[in-house]
Amino acid sequence: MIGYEKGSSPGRARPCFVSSPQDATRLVWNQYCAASLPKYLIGAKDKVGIVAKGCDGRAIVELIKDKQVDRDRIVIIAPACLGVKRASQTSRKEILAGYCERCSNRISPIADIAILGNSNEKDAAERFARDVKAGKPSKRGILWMEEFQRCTKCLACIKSCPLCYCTECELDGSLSSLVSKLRMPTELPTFHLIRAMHMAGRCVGCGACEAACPADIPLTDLYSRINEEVEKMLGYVPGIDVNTTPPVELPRPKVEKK
Amino acid sequence: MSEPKIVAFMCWCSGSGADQAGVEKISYPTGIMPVRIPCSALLGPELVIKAFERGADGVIVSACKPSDMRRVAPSRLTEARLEILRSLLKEVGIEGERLQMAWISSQEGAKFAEEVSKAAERIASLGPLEFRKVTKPV
Repeated sequence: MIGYEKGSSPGRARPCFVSSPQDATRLVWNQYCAASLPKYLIGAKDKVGIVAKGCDGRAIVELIKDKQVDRDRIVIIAPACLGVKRASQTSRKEILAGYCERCSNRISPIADIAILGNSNEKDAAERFARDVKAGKPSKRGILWMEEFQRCTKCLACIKSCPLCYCTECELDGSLSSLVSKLRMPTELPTFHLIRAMHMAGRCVGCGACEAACPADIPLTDLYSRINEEVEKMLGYVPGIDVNTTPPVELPRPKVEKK
Repeated sequence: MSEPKIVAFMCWCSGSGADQAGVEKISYPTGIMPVRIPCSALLGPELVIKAFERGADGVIVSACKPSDMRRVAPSRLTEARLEILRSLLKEVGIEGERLQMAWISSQEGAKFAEEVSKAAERIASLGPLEFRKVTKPV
């Protein structure tokens, strides 16, 4: 069973692996459960249970589509998510993370056990309904080339992303080439452009990359912008239905005559 | 401005089209560097982005017409991918017109020269590309 437990400091929760019923008391569920868990499902041999927020559920859908996760081997527990909090950069307060403000569906699209309504907050249900309706659009007009210059190429965005499961990555320099070379990540800003291209039509907006980024680059803003374009162009939204095929990954059998 | 540097990724068939242009002695802009690939659908977006990074002012991808293909049409996928890439380039402040697509089959030497010169003109009108320059979204 994969879930969250209390972290090392207040206002933090860390992933937790539970293998016996006694240990299950360690599990917690609050608004600090930010880490993306579906990544731990990849390569799991036994039957695994997982706590999934809306975005985690979407990530699991994408992983099932990509044949990285076997649906029969996982049990998804989907509590209603209120969005995760993170420390504000400008004030001392905690604010709702930007990617959660933008989130349009906070309930996992697939679930075995759904827990709706969080009793901790009085107006939770009401706020939840309002938030779901809102789904703020992504920020426009960010100077991306400037943002990218802050990048330290620590690869945390790749390591934290639930959908980056390639064993040989184009970006971290592990791709084998005919001539051996220094294992160096790709140049900036090419690195981010390639990653944005690889996430196009796949990013589920869980914000794991943004939360992990030490340079605070608003990556999910870029990815969601591209996803908007993909939706406009091809009518495809990632992470909704297990039975749809990704539009730019597989050749479709029908030929359209031009 | 001097001649723009343009990388032309062409699939095997449209590469033959470019050869045909040579055989027919049709001239086309000299700033074009042809790169032949087995199929346009094998062209990862990373190669296009890297071409821009290494100093190309524009990229042309030429592919078979979907109607020339037998069962599946991989160049349709290429088209979709490039369309997405174009929107990404616009978002970071690079004009989407720097990435052009042309439908050329193996016998169309004259059409290849024409399409490529047209694309080169459009890219030349945008001026040289400063890849790392901070610009607003287009």
